[in-house]
Amino acid sequence: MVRNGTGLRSSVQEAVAMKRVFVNIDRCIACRTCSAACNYSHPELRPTIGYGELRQDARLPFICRHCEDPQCLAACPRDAIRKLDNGAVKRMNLLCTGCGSCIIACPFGVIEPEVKSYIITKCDLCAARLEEGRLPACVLSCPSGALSFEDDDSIAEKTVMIGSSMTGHHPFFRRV
Amino acid sequence: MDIKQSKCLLCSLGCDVAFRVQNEAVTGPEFCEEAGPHSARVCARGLYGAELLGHPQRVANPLLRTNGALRDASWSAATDKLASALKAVVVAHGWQAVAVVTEPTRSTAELEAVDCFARRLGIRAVSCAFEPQDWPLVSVAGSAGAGAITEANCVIVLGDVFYSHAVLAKDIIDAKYTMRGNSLFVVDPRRSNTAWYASEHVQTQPGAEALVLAAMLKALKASGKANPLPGWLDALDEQALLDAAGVGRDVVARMARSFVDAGKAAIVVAPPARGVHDVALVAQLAQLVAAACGEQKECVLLPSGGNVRGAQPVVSAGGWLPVSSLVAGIMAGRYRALLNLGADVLSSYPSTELSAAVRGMDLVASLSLFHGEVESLSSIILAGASWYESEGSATLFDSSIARWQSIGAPSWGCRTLPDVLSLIEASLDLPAAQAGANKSAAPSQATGAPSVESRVNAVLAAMSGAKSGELALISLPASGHSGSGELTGWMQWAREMFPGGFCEVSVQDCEALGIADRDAVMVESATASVQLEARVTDRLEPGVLAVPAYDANARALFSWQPGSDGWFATGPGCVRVCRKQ
Repeated sequence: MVRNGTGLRSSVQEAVAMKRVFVNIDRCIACRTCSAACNYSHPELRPTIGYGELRQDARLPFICRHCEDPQCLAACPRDAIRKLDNGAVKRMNLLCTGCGSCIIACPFGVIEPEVKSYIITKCDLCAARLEEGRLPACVLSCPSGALSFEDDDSIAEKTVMIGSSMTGHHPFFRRV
Repeated sequence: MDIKQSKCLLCSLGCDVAFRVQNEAVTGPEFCEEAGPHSARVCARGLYGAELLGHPQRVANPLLRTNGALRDASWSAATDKLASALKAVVVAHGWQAVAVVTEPTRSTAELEAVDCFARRLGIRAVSCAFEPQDWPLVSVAGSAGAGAITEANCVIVLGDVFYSHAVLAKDIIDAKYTMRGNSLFVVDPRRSNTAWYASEHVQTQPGAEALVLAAMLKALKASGKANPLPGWLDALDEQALLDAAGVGRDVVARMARSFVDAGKAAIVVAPPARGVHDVALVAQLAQLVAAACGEQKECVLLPSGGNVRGAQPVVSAGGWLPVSSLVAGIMAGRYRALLNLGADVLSSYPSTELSAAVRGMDLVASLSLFHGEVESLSSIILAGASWYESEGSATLFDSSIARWQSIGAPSWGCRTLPDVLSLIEASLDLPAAQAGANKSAAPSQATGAPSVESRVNAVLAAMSGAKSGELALISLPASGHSGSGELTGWMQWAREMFPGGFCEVSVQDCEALGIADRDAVMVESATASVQLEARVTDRLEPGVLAVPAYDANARALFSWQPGSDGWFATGPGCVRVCRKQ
């Protein structure tokens, strides 16, 4: 097994190459279990997954998209945010000074400013779990099946389906 | 690093949970990917176990109160002190002055140990702190399993299941979308998260669930598609039922038609702590609907407590008191000593009278995981252990038995409930003749119980009892809290994500009362006056106010007096609300 500088085994990287946590908002019940799973699975940081509220009809979990061209990476003055071979955007804990540049730069607002000491909290796709061949904690725990861990191609297929199986014309309005 | 599996008892689903254990210490939660009917899915509560086992605010050692301050003590000193204080009460007032209360988040063996303990000592006042809706729900009959939902073509849900039993969300959503034409009806006075997903949200007046089901039965009878239905239905006025429930005839007819025409169908009853009149009647009518619609129609009853079904036979066979009677007895000064074995009656059934009565007792002793409300008045606090710290079994909502192994020995100086009861008995050092002198006969099922028809009429009468200017008060569940929050309220994450101290009010009521979002409001009921933060919402119809069930302050707005059947009423309360000046 080969280890590279990121700490991820290369075979694991291949297995999870370009996989992301996909939020099917048609299924999200706003129970916040993903937030609890994230919090309890990273006891050293106790992060929380933020939520955006669309009126009172939907509460969407803000999970890091691990962008193709991450703005947080570009904004970081300490090069503490790096893009791994598998596409995951990872914060290097020892380099991070908690300056908050990434929080401002993130166009989706998924990096939480609630910090433990001076380290910002940032989704790492549960790298330690992936290394053991397990799925990210938020995906496994999701009680409604709203979160899945998928590659870019299947996400692209699903995004056009959002709302298509619903009774309303709009994925949010169907909940009214 | 080991992974150890257990069961979650924070609701009646009994989901599989697992923990990472390193050097005998639990380091975090894990997921049982292969196990159980719900796969690896858990709700937020299911993840609390790791925190529960190593919580910094756990009662770690026995504590004795001296001159108002709690000090660490050895187990022998604490149980000796408890035994001598108990003996003093018994000498002065007899064993009938001693009350024991435990709770349903206990294994069946632990509940049986409490029963044996009380039986041996001759303590008559033993009770289990159920949530108000739980006893009526399980006392009616058995429930189908979650499989009935997964395969159903039509699901009718009464309550906010996605928040009260979140792990069933996938089953319910899957059931709706598996096949074109499948339907999901949600009967709830609030446009809850579950109602978002409904094909049709049947928004009733608070407490009218029994009336909707009765109207549905009449619609089934009229359709001629149902099995023979009881004659008492004919005496009910359908229009009166629909008017009181605030729903249209067409909606109920559609629901009845979808249910009876479906190949497979399920009706799910998950009532909130307060807000549904006569939960036993609702469960009974739901079962009648399922039975009337023929084969493959099931009824799923979901109590909130973990081992409510396991507790039910112990409570019935042991002649335990309804917890409402025990609370009323405490308030009436009938008991001089309270042994609180895990429950926290003061946060579950809060009232100033109860607090004052407990404060005036000769002895309050508590076996607890945390320093709750009762512990603040206890002179002796014993360090209890959770169900994770010993092996055990529980009976789940569908009467299946869940068994688990201990994750590890109780932390710090904590002890399991049977262990503690043995120590207390040893310290009491009672003569052998004392053993067996207990209990009167098992508590009676109410003799001359009212007929179903009269109970439906009683709900009708209760629905028309609201006075002008008053709002109906209902309680809200939360996916991060269990019951009254006496355990989950100590979880940091739950406190941050699901804080209490608020009430939901409809847009129309807020406009009429001059209340803006996030305003401080005073909410007054016959029993309490509480300051809360108003959350203006379009989820509620005018005339309804909702408070979180896990907030002890807000729970004080409900009346905690026994109803006509001896148990706590489950219907909505009445409050007035005004902007705080």
